[in-house]
Amino acid sequence: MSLTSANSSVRRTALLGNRARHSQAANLLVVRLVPWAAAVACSASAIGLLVGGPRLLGPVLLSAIAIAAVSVSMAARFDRRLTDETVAELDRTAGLGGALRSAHWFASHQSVSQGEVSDAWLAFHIERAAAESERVDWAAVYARPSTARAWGATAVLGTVALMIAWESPRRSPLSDVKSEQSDSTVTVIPSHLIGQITEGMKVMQDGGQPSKDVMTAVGQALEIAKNDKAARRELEDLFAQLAQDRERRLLSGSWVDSGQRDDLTLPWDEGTPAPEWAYEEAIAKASVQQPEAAAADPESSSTNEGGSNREREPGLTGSATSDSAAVPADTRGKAGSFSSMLFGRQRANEGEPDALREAVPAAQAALLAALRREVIHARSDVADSNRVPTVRGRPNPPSPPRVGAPAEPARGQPYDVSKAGRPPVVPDARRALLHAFFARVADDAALSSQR
Amino acid sequence: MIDVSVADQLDLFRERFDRIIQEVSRRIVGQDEVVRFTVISLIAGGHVLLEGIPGVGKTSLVRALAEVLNLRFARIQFTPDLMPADIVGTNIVQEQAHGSAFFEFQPGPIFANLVLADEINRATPRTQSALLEAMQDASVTVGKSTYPLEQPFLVLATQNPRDMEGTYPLPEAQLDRFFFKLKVGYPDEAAIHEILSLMGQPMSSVVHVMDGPEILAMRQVARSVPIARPVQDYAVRLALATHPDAPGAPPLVKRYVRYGASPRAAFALVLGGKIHALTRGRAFVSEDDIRAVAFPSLRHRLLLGFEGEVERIDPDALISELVSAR
Repeated sequence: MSLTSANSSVRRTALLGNRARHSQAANLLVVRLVPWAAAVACSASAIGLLVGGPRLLGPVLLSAIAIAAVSVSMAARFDRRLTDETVAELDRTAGLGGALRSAHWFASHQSVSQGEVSDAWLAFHIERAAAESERVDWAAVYARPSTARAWGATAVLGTVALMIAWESPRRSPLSDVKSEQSDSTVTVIPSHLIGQITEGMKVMQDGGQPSKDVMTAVGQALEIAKNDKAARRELEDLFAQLAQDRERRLLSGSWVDSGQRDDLTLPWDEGTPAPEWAYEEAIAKASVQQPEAAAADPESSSTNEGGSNREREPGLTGSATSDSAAVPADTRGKAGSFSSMLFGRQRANEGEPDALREAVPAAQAALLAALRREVIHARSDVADSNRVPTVRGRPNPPSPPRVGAPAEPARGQPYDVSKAGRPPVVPDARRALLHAFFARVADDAALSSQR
Repeated sequence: MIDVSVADQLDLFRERFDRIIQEVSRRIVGQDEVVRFTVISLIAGGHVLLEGIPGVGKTSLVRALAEVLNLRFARIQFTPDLMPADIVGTNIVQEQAHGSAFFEFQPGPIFANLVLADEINRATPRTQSALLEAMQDASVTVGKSTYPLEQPFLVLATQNPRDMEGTYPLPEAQLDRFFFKLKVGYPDEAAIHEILSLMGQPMSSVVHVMDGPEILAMRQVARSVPIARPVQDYAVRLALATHPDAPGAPPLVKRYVRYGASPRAAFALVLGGKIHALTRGRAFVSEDDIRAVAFPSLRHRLLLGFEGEVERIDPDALISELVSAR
């Protein structure tokens, strides 16, 4: 073996050893990672099946794994530049005692002077190292790891992943459940809360103050809805439903027949329906005042009770010209127009002699008084916090100011609109009435001018 | 085809080396490593400092080696009153027949192939320094004349541990001139039994296995062994790592060492590694060969600092740290 061929042999042997080393490392990497990667692909397929994810995720991952494994295996076959450290590791692993490392260095650096070292010794060293290293079975030195178990596991997991991917378009348990859930109405907010909220909303729509239990229920429902979209949606639906019910109730009227409800209009605007409370209060006033009037005038009272020869009351007959119905103490369910009763007040002012005529204006007056009180109540809500109190008798000692309360104006100080607090929200049930009250001023003026 | 002559040289070298070891071991029992490294140092042309307690065979080793190698042997017993002239020789007045007188150089015991400097640390530093020129240049200068020493020339000095009474520590310059420093330890139980069994018998005569020229030939063979640059880099890094201010110095060296090894240490590492490789039948030097000779090459070249002296740090522990770290 010549020196040149020995040099080539040493370098080739080192390359072969390095290739075997990289091949073993690649195999180890593949064997260790591929089963786990296949498990990931299988899991991805399973998750996709359960939650309805992308159908091809598992197969795509399997393909990527296969490509990566082949790439790593192929890359291990390429020769790399050998460093001294690499050759030293090859030498150490093969048990060559440093011969390959030293000879490889000399074979790669022949131009370096070795001083006293003769070429014969170099040639002897390299040739002997080449002969020794050629006897090395690199495939045995860098033995391939046992891959049967790893590839078996990979095959099983890959098959499972592919089967799941095959099955996923046909059946998706969680997505089916989801679709079923989306079809059905899911009650997220407890039913007892729903009931309390409904009750409380009705109370508030009617202008009342909800109870603490109701407020607690509303708070609980809002707390639930804060983190749950379904609960929020349910709550919004509930509020919308309640609003619709209220509108429907306002439009149709739950306390009177539809035929009577059409006749119950405000005295200053026959097109505006009168609220229930006004009607009830007027009737209550009338029922109180009517016995009093009857007691004051028994004749008229008896006439009124008999009703046969009673002069027809325009206000109770449904119209100014109608005289079809008598005026009982309670006119509900009986013939008569509420709006005509209101208009009858004007005619009563013209001088109706009958006791019954006296009672009807009393009812009308009571209704109007109730309406005015309602309005005044609303106005006091607006201005009460800034109103100068009236001093009566001995003044009370000044009480300590409440925390958060607006500063109380000094006595005798005129009302300052700019210091007025924000008025409370007028209940929806009273908005129409307030609007009608202020609009009535113009109507009254028009009526006066007509008169 | 493999160069036969080189292969023959390699085999011959190994054969001779083994024969030397075998013959010396017949006289010296239980000190195989000391014998081995002494022979390596002899082949390398370096001097050896043998350190050990009295009675462990230091002097016997040198005497046996001289007999085996058939070299001219001289023994100098170092004492505190020993003068340099007692070692290197002196000019004495000679009277000729017609009555005129002249100075004639009377060589000292240093003019031998194998010089045993027994208990070298019992002499004063001045006397110790008389060996410096001989050890380094293989020559002796007396007056205005320089006298070369015959090759092979080898000084084998023995010394007691430094903390013994009446000793003078060797100066650093002289310590550095020793190729190896070998610790002659106490023999083990089996070796002592063997020594006791040999005591009742007459002293066995050793065989002359070679002579001076063959030693020089072996020295030439040893220098022919190629060493790859990475392996030589290892030896250089190892020597440099003994310096506390070197970047690659381990923490122990930075803490306990005041001065590290000189370039002679790297030379000893490489040459000792070459001979060690030849004794293993290899024609190249590996890092294992460097590591094998690291302890005897470096241990006497590490000058400990104050902290190391106080804590009685063994230089071998520092070398072990160096070898294991690289």
